[in-house]
Amino acid sequence: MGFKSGNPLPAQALYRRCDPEQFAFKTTQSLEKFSKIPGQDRAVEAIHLATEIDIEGYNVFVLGRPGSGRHTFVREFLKGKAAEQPAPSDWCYVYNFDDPRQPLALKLPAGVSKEFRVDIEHAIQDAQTVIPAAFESEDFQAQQEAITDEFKDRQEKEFQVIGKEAQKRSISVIQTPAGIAFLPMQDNEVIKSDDFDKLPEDQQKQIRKDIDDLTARLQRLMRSIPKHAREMRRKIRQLEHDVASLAVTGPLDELKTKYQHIPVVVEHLERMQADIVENVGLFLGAAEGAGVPAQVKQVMHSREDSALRRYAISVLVDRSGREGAPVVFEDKPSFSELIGKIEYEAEFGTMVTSFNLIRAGALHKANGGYLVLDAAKVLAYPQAWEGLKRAIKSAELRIRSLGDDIGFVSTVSLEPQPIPLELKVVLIGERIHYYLLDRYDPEFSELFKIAADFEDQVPRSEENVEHRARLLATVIRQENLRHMDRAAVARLIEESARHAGDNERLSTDIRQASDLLREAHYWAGHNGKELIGVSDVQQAIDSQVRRASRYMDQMQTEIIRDTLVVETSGARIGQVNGLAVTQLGGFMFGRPQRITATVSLGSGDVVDIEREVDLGGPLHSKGILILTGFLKSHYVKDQPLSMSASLVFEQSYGGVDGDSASAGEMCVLASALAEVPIKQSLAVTGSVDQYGRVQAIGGVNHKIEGFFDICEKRGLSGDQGVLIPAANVKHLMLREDVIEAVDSGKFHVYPVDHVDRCLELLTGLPSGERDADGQFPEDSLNHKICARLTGLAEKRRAFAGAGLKQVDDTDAGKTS
Amino acid sequence: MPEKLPDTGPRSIAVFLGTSGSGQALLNILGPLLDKDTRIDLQGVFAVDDDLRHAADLPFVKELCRLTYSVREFHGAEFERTIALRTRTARKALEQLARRTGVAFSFHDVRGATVSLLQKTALSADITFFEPLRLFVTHQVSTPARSRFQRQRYIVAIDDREIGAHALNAVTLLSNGRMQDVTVLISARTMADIDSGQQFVRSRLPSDPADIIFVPQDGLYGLIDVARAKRADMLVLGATEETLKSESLRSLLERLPCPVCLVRSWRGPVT
Repeated sequence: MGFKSGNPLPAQALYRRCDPEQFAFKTTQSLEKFSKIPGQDRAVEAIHLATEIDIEGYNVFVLGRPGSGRHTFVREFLKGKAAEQPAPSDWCYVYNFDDPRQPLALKLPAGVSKEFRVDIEHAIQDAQTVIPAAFESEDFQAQQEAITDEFKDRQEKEFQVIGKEAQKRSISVIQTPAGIAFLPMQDNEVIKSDDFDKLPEDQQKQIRKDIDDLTARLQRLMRSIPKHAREMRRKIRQLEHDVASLAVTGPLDELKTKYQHIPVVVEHLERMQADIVENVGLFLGAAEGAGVPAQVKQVMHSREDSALRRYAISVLVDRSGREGAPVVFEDKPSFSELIGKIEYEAEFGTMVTSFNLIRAGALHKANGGYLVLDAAKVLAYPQAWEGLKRAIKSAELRIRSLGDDIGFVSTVSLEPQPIPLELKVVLIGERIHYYLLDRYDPEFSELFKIAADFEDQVPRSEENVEHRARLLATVIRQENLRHMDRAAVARLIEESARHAGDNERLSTDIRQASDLLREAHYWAGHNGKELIGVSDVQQAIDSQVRRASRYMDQMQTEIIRDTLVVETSGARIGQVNGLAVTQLGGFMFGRPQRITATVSLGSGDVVDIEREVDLGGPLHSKGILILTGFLKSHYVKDQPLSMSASLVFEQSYGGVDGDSASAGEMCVLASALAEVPIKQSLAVTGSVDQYGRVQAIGGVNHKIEGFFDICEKRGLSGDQGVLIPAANVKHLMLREDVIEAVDSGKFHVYPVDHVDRCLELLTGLPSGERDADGQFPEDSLNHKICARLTGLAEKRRAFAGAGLKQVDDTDAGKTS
Repeated sequence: MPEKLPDTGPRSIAVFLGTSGSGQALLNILGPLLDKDTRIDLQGVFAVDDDLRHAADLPFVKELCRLTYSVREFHGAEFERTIALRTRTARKALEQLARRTGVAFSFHDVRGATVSLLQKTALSADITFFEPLRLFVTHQVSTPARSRFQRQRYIVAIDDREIGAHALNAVTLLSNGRMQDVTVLISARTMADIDSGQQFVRSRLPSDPADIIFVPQDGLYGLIDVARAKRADMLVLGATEETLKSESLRSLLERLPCPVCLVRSWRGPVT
């Protein structure tokens, strides 16, 4: 659409409508599901590449604005991709019979682990029945007794030999409190001390010798007992070993046959069998033995149960019932949720753990597939980022506690065997996260080689508009909302363009569009409609604005009440209405801001008061410096800029940044220099370059509406309007009430391409072009500015001359 | 089922302890009996044999220690100290048992010939428990399987039917009614003795015992031999005139490998 700089725009130029007639459908009901994100080809290609390249480090960082549909797209894309891939292996942890501190990881075919666990449970239950039965059997008891009897008989025979020998020598054997003693007998009674003394010395000696001899023989015999006892114990243990081995062979051999195609399982079963035989006591329920007090029984039961748990299978990752590769979205990517953890449980007042308490992390679950994480969350949890990087880099998963990882805890824990890791990690974050990581973490670019950058906006092409309509229909289906008629869809498309701040583009903020849709669904229901119509969408928009506009209303009220001074009529020298935008949360609004300038003789300084008090940002300062450059080059090329000016945003108590006020600042400075009043019925926005060209700014719609609201509240006079950069015309998506006012001539929007056009509109004077002699026409505004600057330069020279003369006089005085 | 006889008032159980230990194993065995009746008078009799005292006076007598297999002097002062310690230990163990089971308790420290002291005790109590002298204690072996499945094997020997009924009552209580742990020995001469013996036993016990063995009536020695062969953990005997003879008691003390329960009178549980 053609338009001329300085001429007011027609109403049609202020808004690009979406014609419902362009849609082939009448309502969204007839639209098919659409899971793509329109206009994101660049990002899609990147994700596709990352998932195709099977090389280390080709993980992907999906960056873009929140609400741009990154999560939805990634979810749908990866699900589709994963469905084509085979399901990866199950993983279990089992007891390490050689080193219980280092549980072993078993890799099993997908879906087998659960069955294996149940099989082992049954085998152990069988063993708990079969082994005690074998030990209780008459056969076992008889064989065991045969061994002990042999030992006892041997002992007794040897004792009897000594006993008989003693008897032969009239020596009795008696039991003493601590052992055995040999005593001489006389008439079947132990000889008393006095009687012994009366015996002939030879007999006494013989008795003593006999007793010593017998004692020595008995001592030798007793000393040989432990050796024989050891032999007996060995035989009994061998018997128990054989019986246990036989008893457990049945249940475990069945499993070995069943799992013969998985060598690691067979190996584990063999190790388990050997351990069961070695620790057969665990299956005999010693707590059930006779004479065990109840309290001790409880402790023993608990110990036996916990000891038997060594044979259990701790299923870490189970893929049963699932097809394709896993796609895991971890909402809480803390260190332990990512890496896995080892839990503890209280047992008789102490915290204990075992391989049964090893818990899988998201990396385990996603192993062989895809793990999707929110970058900001990963970075927020202590050590999570480091843990993730370590796992990816080492390509293995080593479970350890956070305390161990940072060296806080020194308790003895488990060191589970690491599990090989092979997956793609997809980090979703905002651009700032990506660029900060890229800048400050050298490992980042090594591990996340692919960046999938989601567009914030997409062209408002017919194809994209059609896609957006289908996307809305998909949301409606997914969330079971009311369908929309095509006019309502068109209105949402328009709102998306307004949200993008560009009538030629659409915002990719799907969340915003979906929220609006949900609220429109509510209003349609509230209004008793089956379908969502334009009015429902508008009601939703109005409602959103109403909810968010408290601060805007307050500011406007204070302007109307003249607390904040903004004039919308009359004319003033050195004062112009600039336009600012404020963003609070997701709500943006514009408002007029009075900018004033004063000029005096000086040495070419333009003082930016905002900057002086640290309220001005760097971009604002840059704008001021540019306009100073323009002043010099445009007006006083061949003489010094002999003025001093100060510029200020009046009644501005917060920070000011951006250069969108530089056109207004130039105009107000020109007004002050030329001493020509500026129409207060107009507001201006735009940045200028050093040649005075007006450049595009952001938030043009909100700025226009902000000024319109004030004028409208005070009553539209017909000469009110806003000057905007011509380059911003394509961004115009103004409110309906503004368009109506423009259409009826009550308000105007002027596109301008040069600051001269601004000055002409603001002052009503021609700006004037330099003639062949380089002079501006006499009645032009630029001439007045030049004249003022020339006057100031002369005054400065005069001041300088006077000063010189004074110096000369002084010097002359000195000379004289 | 054994008939429930009328309550005859307090009963006395004597535990005859020697000097070689605290008799803890014996106390564990009689626990079930005390648990079921609080109207029991538990008597502890700690007997010190005269022969030991005489031996302590002999200067050349040496003691071969059961624990360390070392040989050391056996003299009077050391002997008395050891006896005093054993007496205290035995008394304490009995007292604790009585307190736990809530029965009356008395303790006697007696000296004399062991057999006559035992005889005297057995004549005064309804039931008397005693351990054999077991000069040569065989080595015990313990493995998880043994400790779990080892059962108390009770052998009850019946010669006289009247007193035998009391012995069966006692063994029922001691075995906690687990008749599979009980073997009954009955003296029999004829087939008629066997038939009536079987009927007698079955009418007195809550269920069939593990075994009923008929032995020729060749006296106590025959019973002792069977008890040894069967590896009994306890022999329950009726305290007949024959059993209470000195010679019989000496045989029991010296030849049996297991504790003995001599039942003079036990009229079944009080319900």
